[in-house]
Amino acid sequence: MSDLIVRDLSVHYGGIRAVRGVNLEARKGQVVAIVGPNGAGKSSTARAIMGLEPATGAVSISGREVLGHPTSMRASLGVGFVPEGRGVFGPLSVRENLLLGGYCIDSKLHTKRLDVICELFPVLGRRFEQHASSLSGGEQQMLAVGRALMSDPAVLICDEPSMGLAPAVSKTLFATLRTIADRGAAVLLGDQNAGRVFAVADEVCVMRLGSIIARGTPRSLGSPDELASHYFGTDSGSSAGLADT
Amino acid sequence: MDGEWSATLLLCGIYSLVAIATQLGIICGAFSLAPIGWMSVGAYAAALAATKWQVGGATGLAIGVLVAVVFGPLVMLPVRRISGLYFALVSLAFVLVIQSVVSHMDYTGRALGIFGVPLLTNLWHVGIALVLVCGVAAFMTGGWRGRALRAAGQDPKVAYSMGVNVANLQLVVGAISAVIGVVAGFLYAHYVGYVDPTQYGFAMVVQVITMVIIGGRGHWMGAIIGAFLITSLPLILRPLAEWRDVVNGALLIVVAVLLPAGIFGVFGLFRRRAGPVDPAEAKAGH
Repeated sequence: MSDLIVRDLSVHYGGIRAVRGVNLEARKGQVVAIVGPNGAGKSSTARAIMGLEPATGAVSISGREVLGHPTSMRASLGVGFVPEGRGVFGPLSVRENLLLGGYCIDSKLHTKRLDVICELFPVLGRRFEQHASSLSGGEQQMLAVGRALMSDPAVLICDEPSMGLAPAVSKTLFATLRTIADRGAAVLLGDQNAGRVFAVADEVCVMRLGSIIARGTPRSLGSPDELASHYFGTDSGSSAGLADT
Repeated sequence: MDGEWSATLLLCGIYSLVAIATQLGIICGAFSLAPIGWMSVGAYAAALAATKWQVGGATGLAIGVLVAVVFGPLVMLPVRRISGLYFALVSLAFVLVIQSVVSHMDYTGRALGIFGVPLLTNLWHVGIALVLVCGVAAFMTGGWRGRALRAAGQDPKVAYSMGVNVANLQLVVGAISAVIGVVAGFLYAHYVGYVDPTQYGFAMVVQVITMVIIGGRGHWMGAIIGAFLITSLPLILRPLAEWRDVVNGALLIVVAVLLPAGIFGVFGLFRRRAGPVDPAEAKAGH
């Protein structure tokens, strides 16, 4: 059974329908990606699954229906969330940020989880007592992912993790997301960097104007440039905002 | 100790209480001025208990605390819909409504207030109250609770996604701040011997905000530093006679400009720099 099942998810902002009847599934060990240009509805979908936006439809986490339940409960059910823009707590230290990620789990497990996070992101271990605001953009993104992993979530949702990162840093980060999935988590990744996404995803959903207009394996969808010309009517991935930047 | 300094020290302690109550709200993202309103409730509970209900001070305090526990979270409820300065304005309205109510009711002595409150408060009472409140503040802002409070204060949506029930935390802080405010008002009424509506109005609001900002936002110790500084400054600057207010204002501007994190922020900087750098040591410290 899938750890994350989304059925007919819709999100409205007043009269605007930002997400229209999205269906998704992600199993353990799988990276499911949503790609699409700005305004496609990737972030709204991620936030609605996390309970940060009011939505209709059905969201099931590890077999339990959670739509209508508060965000904090979804987190305690085993969903880790990496928000768009990282959302690290700047005045808090790296260690405090990470421990906040373990808010839902027994504090006796914290040391073990910190070790796991430091193994995945060694740079965080060297910056434990620094303010999170003093980290570079890439380090902050690692911290955001590490924080979401502190509770050892069954489902990890990453919203635009490559935003504002240098290509080399985002490549490393995406490889780490692949590792996280290989270790048993279901990863839902929303990003517009199709090149990076294709390298790590098992399944890619192409989103446009709030709807999923195509889905398949990266191989079946072709290259990012082909994707852009097929689905967004542009000549290249970069003009559609999908290519590696 | 000189009587004047003793009186100033006592007032420093009382203002520290209400500044800590305000600081707790700020830390968890609810910039609430309601503690000044609760101070008024505590003061009137003390005055009414002593002059109208003819019950002991402890009963008056118990009634005030009960009201604070029940209604403190209710005053905090609007923070679910609004935040920042908008919520501060709503909480200011609470302060002004209380002030308006007591200044129009015969039962509370209208604008004249109530005289004849027994002079019971001494330095020991204030000292014990301050130690207890510091203990509560340290408990609330330390460990996982403190991290959750600060996360809620910085980005409630991200805090929710970590599993922190921000709304419930803010309601608990609302109740605790209200109780602290009531205790501060109770002690103040029993110190000055009377209550009147002007004591707990806009001027007090400005004074408490100044204490919190100058002392340092984000830590209860900053509130104490600010309260002691602002309360004792008039006495310290007395030799300057008519220049006292000018120096007072200039000092506040200098602190606000040069120390945007407040006076306590300087200590925080040193503490962070002196923190453990060995990852193993740091991990063991959670």
